[in-house]
Amino acid sequence: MPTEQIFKHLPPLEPPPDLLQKVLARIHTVRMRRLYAQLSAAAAGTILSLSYIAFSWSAFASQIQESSFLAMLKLLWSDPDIVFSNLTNIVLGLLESIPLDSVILALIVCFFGIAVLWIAAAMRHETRRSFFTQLT
Amino acid sequence: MVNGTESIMNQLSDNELIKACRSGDENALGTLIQRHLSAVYRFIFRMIGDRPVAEDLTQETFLKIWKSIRRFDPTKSFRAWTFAIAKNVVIDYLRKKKHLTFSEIENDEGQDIADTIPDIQPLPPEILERAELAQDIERALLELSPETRSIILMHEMEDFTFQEIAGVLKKPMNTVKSRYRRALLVLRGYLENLAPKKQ
Repeated sequence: MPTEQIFKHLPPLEPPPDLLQKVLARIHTVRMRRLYAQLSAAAAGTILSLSYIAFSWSAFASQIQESSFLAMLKLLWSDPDIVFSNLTNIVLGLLESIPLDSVILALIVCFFGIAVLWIAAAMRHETRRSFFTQLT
Repeated sequence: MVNGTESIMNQLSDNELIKACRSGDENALGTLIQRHLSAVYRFIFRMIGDRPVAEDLTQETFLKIWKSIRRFDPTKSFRAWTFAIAKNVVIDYLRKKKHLTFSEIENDEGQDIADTIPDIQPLPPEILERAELAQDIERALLELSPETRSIILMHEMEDFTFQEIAGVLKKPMNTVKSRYRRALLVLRGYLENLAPKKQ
């Protein structure tokens, strides 16, 4: 018998029946760990940017008041005809009067807030999926 | 419903399952793992010779596959890619355990007389008649260096061609063939040495 045929004498080998579940469970654990890390980062970002807004709220409010942004927005409700007849000028005026710093900060808060919600939903989905995998 | 999904998934090719995995389909991931689990476990167990460690390393292998599935090139064989990861996981483990048993022949990269020796000599019948032959073969396999052992296991147990093994190990095909031949000679020598001791 040629040497390579000795391997036919090795007994057949099958993995333990629960190995697939163990592999899936390990993947789930790593996924959850990643999501927790992302959630923590997003939550920290939200808290930090919200705290910054809270601390600089008076500056933020006065910036908005000083700019003609709110007055121009009010015009939309009070006199829409004038707004529509001078639409280009009004839009340009709105863009010029936007308190850019504050808007950027508000967008950052929104971004972190959405990220927190999105990650939380992914975690909920992941937990349910894991439960479903265990049932099947 | 679940069984229906399962049977549909089973009909898909590896590449189709990978595509579904990449878009977040959990069932596709499960099917893909299930499809390759036995072969990977068998390979790792024969490489290590320890069931609990083989289980752990199999989990580690599939975890790595899951993590890097987006980087898999669909023009290549998924099975070969899986085995390349499994082999690396095993070698890393052995390195950490400082358990590497490099055979003397391992570092000899040049053409060897063994390349030209066809293994036509039959093994003595007393070897084949031994009741503990399977254990002896497993022990003999563990005497080989991990890389050489992986060549034997992939070719003999998992029906990989030398071309595929060369792809997995990123080595020229002639080197793979040469190591395979030399490994067979080492195994033969090991088994023949065992025979008189046991009698």
